[in-house]
Amino acid sequence: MLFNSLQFLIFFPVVCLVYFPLPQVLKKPWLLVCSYYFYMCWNAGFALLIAFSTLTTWLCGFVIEKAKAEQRSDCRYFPKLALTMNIAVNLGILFFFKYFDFFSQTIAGVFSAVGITYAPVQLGLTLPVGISFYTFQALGYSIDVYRGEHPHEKNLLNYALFVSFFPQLVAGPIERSVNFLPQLKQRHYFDERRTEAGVLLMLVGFFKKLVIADGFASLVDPVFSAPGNYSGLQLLLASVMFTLQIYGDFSGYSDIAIGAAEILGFSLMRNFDRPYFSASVSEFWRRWHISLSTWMRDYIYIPLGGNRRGPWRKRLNLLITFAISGLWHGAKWTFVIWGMLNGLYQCIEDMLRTAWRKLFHRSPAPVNPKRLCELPFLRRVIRFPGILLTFGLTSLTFIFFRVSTLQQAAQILKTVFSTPAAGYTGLENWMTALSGLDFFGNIHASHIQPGWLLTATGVGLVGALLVLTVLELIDAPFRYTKVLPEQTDREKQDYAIDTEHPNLGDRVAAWAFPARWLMAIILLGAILLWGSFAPSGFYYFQF
Amino acid sequence: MRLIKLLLKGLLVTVPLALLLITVNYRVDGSAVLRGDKFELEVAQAWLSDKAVGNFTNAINERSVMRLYVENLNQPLDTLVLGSSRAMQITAASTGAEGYFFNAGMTGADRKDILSTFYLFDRADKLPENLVIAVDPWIFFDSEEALNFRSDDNLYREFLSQRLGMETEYTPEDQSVRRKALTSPAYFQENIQYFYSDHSEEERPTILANRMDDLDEDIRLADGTQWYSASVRNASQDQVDHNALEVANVDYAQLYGFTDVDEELLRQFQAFISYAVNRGVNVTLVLTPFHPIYWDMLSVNPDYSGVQQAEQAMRNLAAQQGVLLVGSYNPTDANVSNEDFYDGLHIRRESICKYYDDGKKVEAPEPVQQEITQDAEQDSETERQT
Repeated sequence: MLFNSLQFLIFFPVVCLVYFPLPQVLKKPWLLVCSYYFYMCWNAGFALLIAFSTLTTWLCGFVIEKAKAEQRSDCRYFPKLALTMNIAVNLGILFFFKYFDFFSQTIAGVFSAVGITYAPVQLGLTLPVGISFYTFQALGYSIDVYRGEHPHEKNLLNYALFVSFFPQLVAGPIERSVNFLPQLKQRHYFDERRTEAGVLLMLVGFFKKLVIADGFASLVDPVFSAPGNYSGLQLLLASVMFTLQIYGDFSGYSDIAIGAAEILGFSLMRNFDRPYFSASVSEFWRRWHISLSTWMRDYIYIPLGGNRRGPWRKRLNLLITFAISGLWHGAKWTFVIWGMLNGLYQCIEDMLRTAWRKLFHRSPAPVNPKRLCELPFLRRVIRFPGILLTFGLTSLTFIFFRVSTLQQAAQILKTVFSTPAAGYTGLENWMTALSGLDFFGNIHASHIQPGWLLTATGVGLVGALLVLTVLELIDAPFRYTKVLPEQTDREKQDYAIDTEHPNLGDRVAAWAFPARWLMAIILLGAILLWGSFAPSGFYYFQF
Repeated sequence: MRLIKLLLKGLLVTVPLALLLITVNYRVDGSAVLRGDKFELEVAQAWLSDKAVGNFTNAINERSVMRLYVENLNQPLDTLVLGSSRAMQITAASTGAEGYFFNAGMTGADRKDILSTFYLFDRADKLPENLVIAVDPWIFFDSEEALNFRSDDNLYREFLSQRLGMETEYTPEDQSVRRKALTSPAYFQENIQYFYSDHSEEERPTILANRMDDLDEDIRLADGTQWYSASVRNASQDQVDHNALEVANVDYAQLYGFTDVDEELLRQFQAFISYAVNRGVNVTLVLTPFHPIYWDMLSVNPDYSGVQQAEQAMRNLAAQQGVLLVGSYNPTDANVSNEDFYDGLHIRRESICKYYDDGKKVEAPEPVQQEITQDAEQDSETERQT
């Protein structure tokens, strides 16, 4: 069941209408049933995989805690053994469904290079939707229990709901037990303000998906399916557009998920924090797919040694972590290279930062440039080229994320870099390039009509980007407020987590009604005018 | 209470946009899903409000016009005329009809048009009291050439299946399409684009209050009949005869190779007449004469021998069903000559009374015994019983 489907628009209100009047004791079973139903709409059989993963991980948590509690010398290896087994089972399932064919082909390729050729075994299995997400969530839980960061959840129902909670089941955010499990122990009531905030955030999500992501997808998809037919400028524009598409798609999904959960009384972790305003690649990764980045940081980068073993080991750890992150996205070398490039950028940044620090740390110059750059005004001015550079680098790197094969990526990059500078300048070049991308629809410049301003794909997207920019600015830290309207104590308790980090929905929900109304009208109007209503899946479902 | 308050707020946001969506979709209706084709609707509304229509170009779909005409018709007609452009000169005066008269003749109408137009009235429960069918011979010609690409095959099949009980496949019209279109956001976008697009080159029909004799263009009058342009009406006899000669010298596609009346098509037509009679409709069959020059060719060329067979079949049918038949394809039998034509195919409006006997219908002559298939007889018998 897609969020952007009529099915979901019926399903979700039904879930809510039944959920709130139910006694507390039945609320969680109801959500669990709904979550499994939600998942089974794709493939009923694969729900068994979730159930299996849930059960094994829960049993593992139970064994770990039990063994730790007994503190017997003959049981001291039990926790590690249980954890290892759980990781093996979960990753085994993931490997079987997602990576078997990839590794089988890669090994056959290696053998072929040394002269031994054979037909690799290919399973050709359908990838269960969201397997990478719920597997990592389950792994995170068992590691947390092992590390003692969170006690084992004794209630299997709570744990099952933690893994399968439908808003975040298929594409995250990858929730952490520390954040989500305590919320399952709280009582949940209908809250008008929270519902409004959730609905507004869902609207933002639908806007990002239907207008931004699907709008750009209609321009970008033809380019990436036949890149040989396009010029360097068009390929460059398409990669920039894809960068915007993927953000709209994934952050849109996250917004809908977080908004839906919020209506039901749960606070999911923030997954995006205006990533394209980042002034460096490392900052970008602190603001893009935050739930995965922090997962990678806590369960891979830090266990590898993090930055504790010297600068070069730190850089190696970064490369390894990002290569794994790339592989997590998809069983293709293009994803691995995409991940490694992101790791490489951060290594280079780290080296430059170290050099900068060494150069100016004790600068004898009368005005220390390092201190000068820390002045608030200059800091902002300096950020601007950093933001542009980071966006440019990210766009180029996303080419590997979007293409089907490495050869295609090489073809695109070759065309982009071999095009002379003159090919990127001049209004005529740009108009021709945009026209070739169907940016203006089928309307020629000589026949521009008022309707064109409202409905042409490109103009709609420019308008939508303006709306998105306003949304991002509203979400910006300088508008950050902890002030929430008056609530009863019990509601405040339930809502406490949100008060620390209000999301965009919370912020808008705190506005006066006319302003909230206007915001909702603008978002719905933009969806109505520029949204794409053809059925389309979310990009991250393939992972 | 809080829930109601929230729902009200939700309605305050969604209702204005929903209203905008529905209003734009209904009013603009760029793809003519909800209200029918824009210009066709204008034509239908003009006719219903007793106005003539000019600039009636080929871009206007007469089949759509008829659908919309029937949909918006408030009361059943007293007299309805069906047929091709050769029937478009039949007026209330020439048939002696009284009351609400409409000529639903269509350019190049084929057998599907005749039956499906009748079905439109039948389905809407607006059957006329009198039905005049101008039977062109090609409606019994089983050839692709005798069909009009614009005719509604599905509606025709639905009529055969639903009313005449003949087994044929058709797709029932999906009424949900309209409902979906009304609330479709994608259709809203299409409509906005359509609304603001360039319509300057569209050939819009002109609504005329009067007949406007001086206007040099064809006009469709309020009764559906065609009022030819001054140049056609005032053409010299030489021009008319020359045109008839041209028609006779080229292989007129709708009739060329029509050597035999198709038994199955005849059976369908018989069942149709039988059905109409059983529904209490007074049927009159009209055989519109051809121009004498053209007829000379049709009557001797064996490639067109089906034309005379069709006339005979209609005479038999009229006798069998007890319906009136007037006219003849043969201009001599119909008492008309070269001067009575606009061109090789179309008779002058004022000349129709020559064979329609100025409103007094000519009784069908004694039937000539001709074998009618056993099936057809049984069919019409069954129809009569039902």
